[in-house]
Amino acid sequence: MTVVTNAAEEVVLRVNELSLEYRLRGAGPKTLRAVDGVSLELRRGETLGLVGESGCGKSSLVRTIFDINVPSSGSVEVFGQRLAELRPKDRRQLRNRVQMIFQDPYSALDPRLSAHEIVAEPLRIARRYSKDRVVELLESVGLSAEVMDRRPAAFSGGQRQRLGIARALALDPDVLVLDEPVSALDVSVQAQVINLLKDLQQRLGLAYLFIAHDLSVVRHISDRVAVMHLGQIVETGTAEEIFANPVHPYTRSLLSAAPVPDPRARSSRRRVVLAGELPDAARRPSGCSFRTRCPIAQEQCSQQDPTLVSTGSPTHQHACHFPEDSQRSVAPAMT
Amino acid sequence: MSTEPILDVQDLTVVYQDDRGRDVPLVEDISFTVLPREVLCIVGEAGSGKSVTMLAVMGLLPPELHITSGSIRYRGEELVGMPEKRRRALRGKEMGMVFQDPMTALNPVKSVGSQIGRALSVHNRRLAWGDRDQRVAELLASVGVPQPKRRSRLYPHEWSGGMRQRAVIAMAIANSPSLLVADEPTTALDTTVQAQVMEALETARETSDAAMVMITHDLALVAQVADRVAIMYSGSFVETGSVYEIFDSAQHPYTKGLLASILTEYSDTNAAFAIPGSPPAPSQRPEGCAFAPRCTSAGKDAACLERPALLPMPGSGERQRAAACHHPGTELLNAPYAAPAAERAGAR
Repeated sequence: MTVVTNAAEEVVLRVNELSLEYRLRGAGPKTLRAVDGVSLELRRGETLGLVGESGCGKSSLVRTIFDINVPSSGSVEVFGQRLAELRPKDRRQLRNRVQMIFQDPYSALDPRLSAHEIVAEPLRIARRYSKDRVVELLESVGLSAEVMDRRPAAFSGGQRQRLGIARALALDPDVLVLDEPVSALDVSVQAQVINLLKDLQQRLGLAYLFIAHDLSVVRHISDRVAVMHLGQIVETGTAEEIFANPVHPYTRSLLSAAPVPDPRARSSRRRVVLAGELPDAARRPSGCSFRTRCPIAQEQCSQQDPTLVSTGSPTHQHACHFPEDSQRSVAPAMT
Repeated sequence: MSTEPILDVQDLTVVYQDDRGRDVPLVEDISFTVLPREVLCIVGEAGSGKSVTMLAVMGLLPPELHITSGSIRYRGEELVGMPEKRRRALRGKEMGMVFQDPMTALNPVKSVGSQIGRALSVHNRRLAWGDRDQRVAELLASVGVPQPKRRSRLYPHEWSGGMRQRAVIAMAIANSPSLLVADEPTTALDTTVQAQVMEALETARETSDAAMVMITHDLALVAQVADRVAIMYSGSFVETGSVYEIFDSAQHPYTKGLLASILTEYSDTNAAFAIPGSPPAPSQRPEGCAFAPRCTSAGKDAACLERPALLPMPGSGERQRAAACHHPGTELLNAPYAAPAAERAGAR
């Protein structure tokens, strides 16, 4: 396996002003903009947490990164090369370096294949199969070679997720895109998988794009965090900046909505500050997409769509017209 | 608070028959009581038997599962063996249920309003149509559904997930039950919507003055709503107590492990605490203490080959604070994470 020396600053995955529109049929709006001008950078060995509610465009973004959907505008670069401009063969080669871990380890594995075949499949396709490599991969995720002949049904949820991770590692990727990798697992097993992911990251120098709605997990594993609302990034910064000093009212309400595991905390704060749910992406509100749910929205918010601006820190950006009001009046930070 | 329990479950055992005709216990000898207006949270992982327990209470066990012993009393009335007709009169009227997935809990081909209306009229034959619609709108408004009159005419697929779960809650409280049973009511929802729905559930519970049994695996949620907590592992309760007792001074190593594995800002960023292994399938529960194979407590020894009883802790009163461990209170060993290669992964 590749040993990574100091190439820490290298950008392995870059998403540039990416937009994705779906065409709609029938009456009403003709298009739905699922991803709206998203830019992200992922450096070698780091973890970027992507947070947002269901319907915010996380999955559309992932599908575009994997070339399943063709972007309406913008581009995806892997190691500085634009996927869209490559010949199919080169594109496939490059795509091997970005792999995916799915949310549901029950549906992500073919129930008729043995553990051995599941991990061997990508190796066979790349004509790099060897049994030793399969054993090595299984052991690297904490599964012993004895379980090779068993089918997914014989494994627990946590073990299946390990199997999915072994399969994703088969072709020595540099980037893993993890879509809610622990949310389908039992509580006592989640921490095991998180620890395994951290361990693998250190050993293999992997970069993670970690998508989740569970903020405590994101906080635990991420170096940087991007918060997504209705197709747009509304705040981005280091994990510390986002959790200790959130600026955007949406980020603040996400943090305050997470229940605190302490019975004494219940009377001391009101958790619900957000009214309503994510608006329909096909009927996006004018101006700021968050204004219909925002406790501090003003006239300007319906007229002008805020863009990402710096908060003063070079790593911390937000898209809100009234960041000061937000800090004064919207629920406190997660403490 | 009256001391007469709303729900009194004693020594309940539920089994299913496997292919070879053997009885496999899913729930073994569990006992608990719920007082009026009290909130009991049953915490456990997949396969721990928590949902089976609640299905038994509601009388909704699938035909292949049987109650082999024990009693379930609702306001002193025995539910085990009760004729279905009487059961139906209780279910939905005295006992309301909120299911995990609002999409499957609602009928896709009937409007939401007509389903809630049905829950009302089934228990009150003389309810006039106009009154019924009025009551449905009131119920929907009380759980925070905007434009309840208009929305009640829509079908479940036209409602968002959070709104659907509110509708299910409205249906559960339609007849002002004394007991609400909620099975992972917010697991399928996003964090912000989860907070809204929990708030709606709490308000609904308070206004209808009902007691509640909530099943969940989310300890943070437990901390928010529970009065009492029962921790379930592998078909049995391993620890019970008030929410403060459980969070402040857990005795069982499983409870301690669950609490320690909650990720917070204080968690060690390099290695979070993790309970090793995974919970056993019901057909493969170990002899003796079911948790022993995963136990990282210093107390593990020969005694653990014997199944520990759920014993009251010294000094605990009528509402017992109890733990099923031979060595309650021993510290967790601080070796949360072995190197992956050394970890053995047996089949489930």
